[in-house]
Amino acid sequence: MQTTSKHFRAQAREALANETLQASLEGVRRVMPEIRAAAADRCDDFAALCTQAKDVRQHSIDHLDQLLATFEQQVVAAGGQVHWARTGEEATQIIADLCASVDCRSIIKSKSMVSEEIELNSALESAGYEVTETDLGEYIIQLRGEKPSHILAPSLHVSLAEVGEAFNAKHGIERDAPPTDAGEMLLEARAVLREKFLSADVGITGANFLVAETGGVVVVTNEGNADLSMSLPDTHIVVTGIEKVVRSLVDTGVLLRVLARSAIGERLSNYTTFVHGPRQEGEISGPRGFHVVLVDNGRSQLLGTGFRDMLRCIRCSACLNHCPVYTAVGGHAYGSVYSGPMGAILTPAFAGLPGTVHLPGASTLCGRCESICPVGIPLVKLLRRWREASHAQSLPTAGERFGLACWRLVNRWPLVYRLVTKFGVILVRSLSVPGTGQQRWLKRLPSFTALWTQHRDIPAPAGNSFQAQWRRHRAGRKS
Amino acid sequence: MMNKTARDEIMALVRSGTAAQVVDSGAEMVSFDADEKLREDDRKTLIADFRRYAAQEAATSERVAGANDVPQAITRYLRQLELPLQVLAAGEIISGGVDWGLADELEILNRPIRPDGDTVVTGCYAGLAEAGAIVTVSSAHFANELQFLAATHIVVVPVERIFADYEGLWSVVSREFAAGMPRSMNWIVGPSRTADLGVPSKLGAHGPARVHLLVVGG
Ligand code: SF4
Repeated sequence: MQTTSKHFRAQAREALANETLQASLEGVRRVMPEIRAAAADRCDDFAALCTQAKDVRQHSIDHLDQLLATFEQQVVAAGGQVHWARTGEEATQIIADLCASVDCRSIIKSKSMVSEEIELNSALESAGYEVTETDLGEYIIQLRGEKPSHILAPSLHVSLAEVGEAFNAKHGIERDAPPTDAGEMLLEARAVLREKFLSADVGITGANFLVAETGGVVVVTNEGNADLSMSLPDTHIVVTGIEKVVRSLVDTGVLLRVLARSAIGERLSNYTTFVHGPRQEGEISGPRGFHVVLVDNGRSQLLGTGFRDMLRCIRCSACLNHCPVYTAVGGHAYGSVYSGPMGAILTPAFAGLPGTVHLPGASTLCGRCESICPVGIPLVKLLRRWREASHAQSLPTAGERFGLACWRLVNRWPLVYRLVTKFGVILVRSLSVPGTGQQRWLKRLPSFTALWTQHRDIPAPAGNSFQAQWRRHRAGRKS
Repeated sequence: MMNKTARDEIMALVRSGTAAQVVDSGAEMVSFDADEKLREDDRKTLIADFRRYAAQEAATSERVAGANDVPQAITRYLRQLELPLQVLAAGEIISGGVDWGLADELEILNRPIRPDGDTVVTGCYAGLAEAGAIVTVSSAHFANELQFLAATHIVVVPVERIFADYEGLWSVVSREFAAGMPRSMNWIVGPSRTADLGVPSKLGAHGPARVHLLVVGG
């Protein structure tokens, strides 16, 4: 998996200065936690639902070998084929070979994060195929030659005006100026993509879940693009990670209940499709070829490690929407198709820690992500685990390690702690400016600490530490 | 050959990975709940929930007394929206069929679907009160892509096929599809939508921009 995560700092700075992106992120901050909370409140007991969902995913991970074997058997029994790929390259090769075997020219795709992870589009395009993304967000970033900036809303960073410009540049429609009306753009995209749907030879989709007991592939969308992608072309290829398999249809229902609520604050997404194999006897439509490409790409190696819990992830994106770091810098800053807390854990796992060491650090460890994860992934613990690993491998810079050593020293010796906080508070207050009432603010700090105040004002600490106040309080009570 | 090796290697890694932490490795496969135990919820509440949750996702709905009222109800709906009084009827609309002759102005088209703009009428396998969703299944008689290619999708939902929750549906599916699942089972709630062109979301991204439910009976 290719990343630019090692440039996290520069990318984050760029993101903070990008006004379009900041306006979109403000929308995420304002709207998404609220709609998820409202959806959870409308449930009798959302916490109990999440516990069930966690159990379902835990069962999958604990019995992955059996479930994968059963799933494979059932797909074959339904007339489909299962292909196994150890790496991203192996997966793209299998898919390119499948396309060649059916004499394919054009391919339509619905959104799949695994296909982003393995860079499927560029591999297929280099093999000479025309690939069209059909999820509108993916289509927009494909036209702009970009990567997704959110796992569910890939074009989150693109303004409506920029969409109009992209359509104007790529659709070859004679007009005086780019379209600006969202309704007009929707009809234009619908018409352009409808043509592609009707002429494509192969449809590629991801999978939200795989159902072992029936060999089913479950795909969830709001646009219905996956349904057209998997029912019109003569060949349907599913590309997905091995961890997506669950035991039964009943278990899938449990996950569907938490997925849409966590992702978009709805009971259910508009389209949920359970597909089982190719066209059946007597049917007059549906693909004649049905292939499932199961991608490992580092997943099996997580199983026996302390990161095993991460395999429960159902890619709902709630942790991104609730993360103060993600909602400040957006997805591109992470330099990986997986961003936010889940991305900060998955990216080092898939791409290796040395090039991605900044990501586990890109968290305040406030725990908001963990508190809303519908499958109970201990995200904070896993972020810490990566930090420990990076420290053990001496990956942080000398300056960072020196800082941590100082921190440790201060925290180990109560006297040093008291002295440092006492003089620290005096120093910091001397740099602050008055605000309303008693409150003072830090608006501009000197030297390297200026980064702290570059994008926000920080309330200056009170004159006394809690410990000092407590001592005074106790002394007062005794006298 | 390469693929066989890949499978074996992945499975070996998975096995050693799971074995590293799983105490109970021989859990049984839980299968469908074999007996049908439809909840005894008041059917009225079920229907009301079904319609309310569908409406929250921008589907419209109407109750009609019986199959004979379907053609007139469709005509009324199309006229209200000033859409052509022409529909494609896909698959079995309702058990026992629909007497289209009961609405003379409504034309039942006998041609393949056009790339965009048609109204398609379908039946459904089930309704899900829990989510306001309808469930359709592909078959020799029903080309399921028609419901996605349509601009307007009218769905006939018999009240006795509305289930309270997903578990209710699965228990019936386990019996009725014991020999094998249909190629495609589609749960649909409301029209196709996208949030990729700003807020509020826009209807009719790829699939129908209008979904209308005719709840029959009860
Ligand atoms: S880690 Fe949890 S909250 Fe984040 S995407 Fe995965 S399931 Fe959703």
